[in-house]
Parts: sequence; structure tokens; C-alpha cells
Amino acid sequence: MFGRNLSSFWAATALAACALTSGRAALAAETKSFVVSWFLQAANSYDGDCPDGINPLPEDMFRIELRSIGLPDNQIEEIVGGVNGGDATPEVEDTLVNRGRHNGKPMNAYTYPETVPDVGFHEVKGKYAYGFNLDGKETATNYEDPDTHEKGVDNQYWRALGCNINHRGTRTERPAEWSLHWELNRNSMPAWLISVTADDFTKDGDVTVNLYKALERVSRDANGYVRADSTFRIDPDPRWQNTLHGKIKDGAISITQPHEVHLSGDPYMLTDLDMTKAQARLKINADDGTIEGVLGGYIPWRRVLFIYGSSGWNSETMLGTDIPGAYHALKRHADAYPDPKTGMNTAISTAFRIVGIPAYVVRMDAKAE
Amino acid sequence: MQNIGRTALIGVAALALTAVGSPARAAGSNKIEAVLATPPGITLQALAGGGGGRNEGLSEKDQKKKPVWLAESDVPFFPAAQTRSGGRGTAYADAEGRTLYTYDKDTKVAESNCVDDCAKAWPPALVPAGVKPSGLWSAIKRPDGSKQWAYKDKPLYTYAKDKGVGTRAGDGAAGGTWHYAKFEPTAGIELPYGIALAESLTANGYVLADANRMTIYAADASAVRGKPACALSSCYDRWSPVSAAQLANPIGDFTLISRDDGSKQWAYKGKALYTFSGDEIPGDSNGIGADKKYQIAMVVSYFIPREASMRDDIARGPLVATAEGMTLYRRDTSFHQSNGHGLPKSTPGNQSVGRAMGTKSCDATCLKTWHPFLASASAQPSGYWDIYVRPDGSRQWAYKGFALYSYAGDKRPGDKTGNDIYDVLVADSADHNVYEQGPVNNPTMAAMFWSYVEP
Repeated sequence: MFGRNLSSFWAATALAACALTSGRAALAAETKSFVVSWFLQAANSYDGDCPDGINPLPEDMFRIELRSIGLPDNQIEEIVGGVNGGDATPEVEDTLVNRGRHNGKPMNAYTYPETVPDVGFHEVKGKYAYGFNLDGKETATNYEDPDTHEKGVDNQYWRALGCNINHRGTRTERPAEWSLHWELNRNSMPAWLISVTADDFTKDGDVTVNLYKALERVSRDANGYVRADSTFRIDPDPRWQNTLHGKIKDGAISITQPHEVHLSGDPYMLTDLDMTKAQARLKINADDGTIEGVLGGYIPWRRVLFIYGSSGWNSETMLGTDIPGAYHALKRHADAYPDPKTGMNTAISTAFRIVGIPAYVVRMDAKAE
Repeated sequence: MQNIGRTALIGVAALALTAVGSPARAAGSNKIEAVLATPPGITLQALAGGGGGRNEGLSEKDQKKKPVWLAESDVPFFPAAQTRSGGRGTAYADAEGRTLYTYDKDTKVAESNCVDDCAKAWPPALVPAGVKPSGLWSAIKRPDGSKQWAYKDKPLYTYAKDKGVGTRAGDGAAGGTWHYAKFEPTAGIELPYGIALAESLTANGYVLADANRMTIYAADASAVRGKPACALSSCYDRWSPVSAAQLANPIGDFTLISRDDGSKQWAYKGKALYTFSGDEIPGDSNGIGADKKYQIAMVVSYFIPREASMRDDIARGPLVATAEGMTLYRRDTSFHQSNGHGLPKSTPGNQSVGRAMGTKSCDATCLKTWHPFLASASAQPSGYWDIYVRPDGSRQWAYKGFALYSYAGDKRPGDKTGNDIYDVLVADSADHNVYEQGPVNNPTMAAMFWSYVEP
């Protein structure tokens, strides 16, 4: 499949290289392209942000849930003791998978998370969290961005799960859950691309940010990092081509016109990014040419839940997120797009940290960026 | 370069196959006659436990587990544990997907030795009315006057105790005298040294390949006798003769041509063989349509309905489409099925799961945007293509077990905007009967994905 278009591919690559090397002289606008090397929940953990405590580890979550459905302690310990890092016996697995109860009858905890008593995830109550003021309001459930100090930041996904130990992290210390998902799957999922176009990156002015899904996957260099300066073809499917408009000021790029962003990913990481009212701020690092920033907006919370649910039992025992607990927390903190029938919010505000390294990006029609 | 923007509709060879199952020869083409993998009424089904390399099935243990049904859309959901692949191969089956068998005691050509009680346990596979056997497939007359399928002169039967598609409970029965009819499309084909058979998804069948596994093409008569079809070197360079050793001998359908430069070239069924310089890796078939004098050297053709085609998508390779080129889709519980989700090549759906879902994978709401791909009243299933009867009596094509749909959001041939659309199936209330049955040991969350169909 790749090979069949190799000739056109290299022709396009050559065009891309020409465009990138001679673009300044030949074109009015300049485009810099990147492949996303990291995409994570924008964690901002610090002492005191979870005043009610950090949520228990999975074994303790199981104990709480199994106790609440009436199992005796000796049986609970037998079950929890048999978890063994996701390699449990079928009987133990069956008990934990079906730890929901309805009229005394066992229910699948992943399909019927409502039947598992809410363990009540502690929420992030600190002042600071990354993100954007998506709804233009400042309320008690909003944060202040630690970098921009924008107030009214909506990031309920962080509030819901940020007190889980595997979600804890900072800009420089990546949260374990998302790091593992991303690290394990970015080799196989289609690469995500960023192209930034401005008249002059050294001056303030308008900027266009394109987010694409590639046909290729990332490759690694000898150190295991995502290889820089690789060439990627943009998936011609228009659903995965996003154009956002903003401003560049003192080298900082801000999306000033919130827009939808749709990218297809991987079910074990993020099945797809289906974001509305997306905003972003990005900065190109003059030293190494990388780009880094924050992308925020609303995403359907059930699809967030599926990040954990798609791995089900393994995700719980090996990565440490209690899925029924996540269901209750995400549902509780969802803050946008109420269902017209039920009134239940269907989306949750969030912010992701996005990092890209230089790449060549070409269209299938050989139009280079 | 010749393929930029190409959206080739492939499958013309199969158009001639739908009616009578005759060897592939599209009108107006000089295509080599290829053996049809199965005639109308004979299908190909992955055996339980996986198989066929590209076909998964349920293990025998998992076969015993019943699917649970998602009441919301009336969709059966197989726990992930039940969908692991095994690798048991592919069997010839009848139109309903029942595995076919041969009987060692059928020792006379075109005569069945299984009658009366034997025939009750082993019902003969009957030739549908109006279907004309051909090639290796013949019809034998049974004592009651009915016509029974025979393959390579061996009468074919189903087994009354087989439970469901993909099972082969009769294999080895009666002291090992019964054997399931294994799909071995290339068995018995004699090949010269340096030429192999390769499955081509684009060409929809088995083609000849050279020692480097590069696709081989056959030239029409004007290119034979050492005269390339075009005299210019630029053209000559595009088509390289498949050389034979000086001491090579003809074998089977392969003969030798002496070229003007003294070298020898292989020919298949009388047509000189070439490779195409535009093919860059094994499996490429970019020479299709590049020059009408050269056709891909098909040996075995898969059936494709006249309503369908294989569309060569520039980004994805061959995809199953309508004859007009509109993308066709299937709905499955597996998320490992599309390029967009994780894998460079999609994981094929579990044929048994597709069969179990039948036409139920799309409820009334769903049908507003997903349109069943219907078969004509006279159409017969064959090969990997099944026909499911919908509740309204209409007949819907299914490919490799999964009912096919087109998507209302696709406006032009080549659009694939339905791909990757999915629904996470999580109930907000215990009273919301997602599963018709009780608890199930499904270790992950359920979701249903739409995906385009790769052959």
C-alpha cells in the first residue's frame, strides 16, 4: 500500500523539501510542520491540590467496591490477593468483572458501571490547572492556568481524575497513565501532525494552525525517541483535517477562534479526539525547533471513559484506574452539552499537553506544507 | 507515478462469473481465463478457531459460549475472549455457510455412495436451480433425481450435526472416512521453477508472481514471439520478460517462448509473461490498467457480485465498494479493524461473529444513515460473499460474514466518511437492558465500530 505510491510519495517529499527550504524566499507565508511526539492529559499536580487525599490504589478500590456489594472480608482478600498484576484466575477475574449488583444479581462492571457503588474519587480542588476558559464564565469549579494566569479555566477531566496517583504529573513529569497509553500505542497509531503557517514567525500577526492525521506512523531513532525530520502524508479524509485560526505574539501562538478538532487515534490511547470549542496555545522552541503547548476544549466523556474501558480488566489492574469509579467521576463532573432528553451533560472540559518535533508534511496531491 | 489519483474499479473479471460461474473473462478484455474459486451457491467460511490467515473464527471452546445480545440495537456481542484467532483454515461451504465434506467411500467418479440413512446424517450439497457447474465443479445425479455438487469428482455433503457456521464436527467421522472440503485454491497447479502463486487483494484472486514475489502480467498475442508490445525503449523498459532458463521445460499450462535475443521467456496459457517496472514491492499490481495489452496473470478468481467492485483506494489499497465505487462498510464489536485505529492493516472481522449478527447490526435508527447493500432476487452467494435475508424479505450482501452497508454521509465514489464511526455501549441504568442475558465475563467495555471493508 505504501509502496504503490512510492514514486508520487518521493516526488511529493521532494516538493516538500523544496517548499521548506526555499519557502522563505518564494512564498509570502511560511509554514513549519511537526509530528506530535507526546499527547497527554495536561497534568498540574502539586502539594495540597487534593486536600481530601490521593485516591486508593486499585486493590483498595476493589476492597471498597466488593465490601459495598456485601462480600465478606475473607473472600475479598482472597479475590484481591489473586489479582496478581492482571494475571488472575478466571474465577477472580469473573468476580471482579461482574462486581456490579442489581437486585442481588451480578452485573458487568464495565457495561453497567452504575451498578457498582461509587467509590467517590477525590477531586482536584487546587487553584491551578492547565486549560482555557471555554465558556467565558468564572465559577467555583474553574481553575487558574498556572502559566497564563487566565481565570475561569474549565478542566473538569482534571478535576475528576487528577487525584488518581497514575494521573499525577506536571509539565516535565509526565502522568503515568497517559504516558503508558501514549508510549505503548504511538508506534502503531497513525501519527498526528501540526502545521503552523504565518507571514513571519518573527513578527506579531495572524497564524493558522492545521492539525492532521497522517497515513504513516511515527518511527523511532536510536534513542527510542520519535524520529525528527521524517516525512508524513496527510490522510486525505477531510474529517481528520482541522484548521484553526489565531495570533502569534512575541513568538507565542494562540488560537483565538475556537473550533472543532477531530483526529483518529487508537482505542487503547484515545480512540479519537472529538473536541469542540477547541483552543490552543503553542510555542516553537528556537533551540531545537520543537513545538509545545496546550490544547483544550470539550470532549464526550464516554469516549474518555473508553480510554480506560477498552482495556477493561487489564487497565484496572495494571494501570490503576478503577473504571466504575472513573465512570461516576466523569459523569459527575461533565460540564457541557446536556442531552436534550435526560439533561445529563455529555461532554467534559479538558486540556492536553501536546509536543511536536519537526517533520515534513505532504498532501497526497503533492502539495507540500 | 502512473497511479496518482487513480481510482481503479477492479472486478470486471468477476462480472462474468455471477450468472453461471464460468471462468473469468470480462467482456472486451484479453484476460487469462482463471479458475473460479467457487461457483454460485458454494461459499468460503473460516473454520472455528480462526484460520485462513486472514480469517478469524471462534475456538471450539468459545463456540460453546452463546453470544449475548445488545438489546439496544439487537446486536450480539461476543466477549473479547471469544474472538481470539486460532488458525484452522477455510472450508468450502454451502449457501448457508455449512461446511462441506467428502466421503472416502465415494470411489466411483460422479456417483454418491451415501444414500438413505447415510444421506440423512450427511445431507448432500445440492446444486441450486439455474446454476451451471463448470471447471472442477460438477453436478452428479442422485438416485432421487436431484443434482449434487461434486468437486474434483468427489460428491459434497453437509453434516447434520454441525452446529453453526465454521464448525466441522464431521471431520474424521466414521473411522476417518469423512473429511471437510478444505479450500486450497492453488493445490495441484503446476508451476515452473521461479514462478509462484500469490494472493492479490486488488486483483481479487491468485496471480502469478516471480521469484521476487513481484506480480506477473500476461501479454496479448501481439507481444508474443519476442516482440515487445511497444517498440520504444521507454515502453520496453516498463515490461520486463519473465525469463526462463535455457534448459527449462514446459510444465502444465506454462510454455516457453524463444525471444529474438536468444533468451527464453515463460508463457502461461499461451501468453507471454512480464513484470511491470511500476510495481515497487511484492503485492503491487500497478500494472492493472497501465496498458491494455497487459493483463494481470490471474490463476484463480474470487467471486464478486455484479453490484460490487474492488476499489483501489490511493491511501488504503483495495477496498470493497459498490459497482459505482461507493465505499461499503461493516459493523463489528472489534476496534482492531481499521487503519485509523492502531494497525497498519486492519484485523479482519470474526466471520462467525458477523454471521451471528446477520442483518441485526443496524437498528431502525441506524438504518437512517446506513443503507443495506442489497442483492438482486436472482443473485447467488459464492466465495466470501453471503446473502442474508432481511426482516422485510429483501436480500443483503455480506462479505466474509458481515452484512454490508453504504453510508449516507458519503457523497462521491472514494469517500470513506463512515469509517471509524463508533458507539460506546455503556448503560447508565441497570434497567437499560444492554445485554439480553445475564452477566457475561467480558473483560472490556463494549463498543461497536463501523469500518470500511478490506478484501
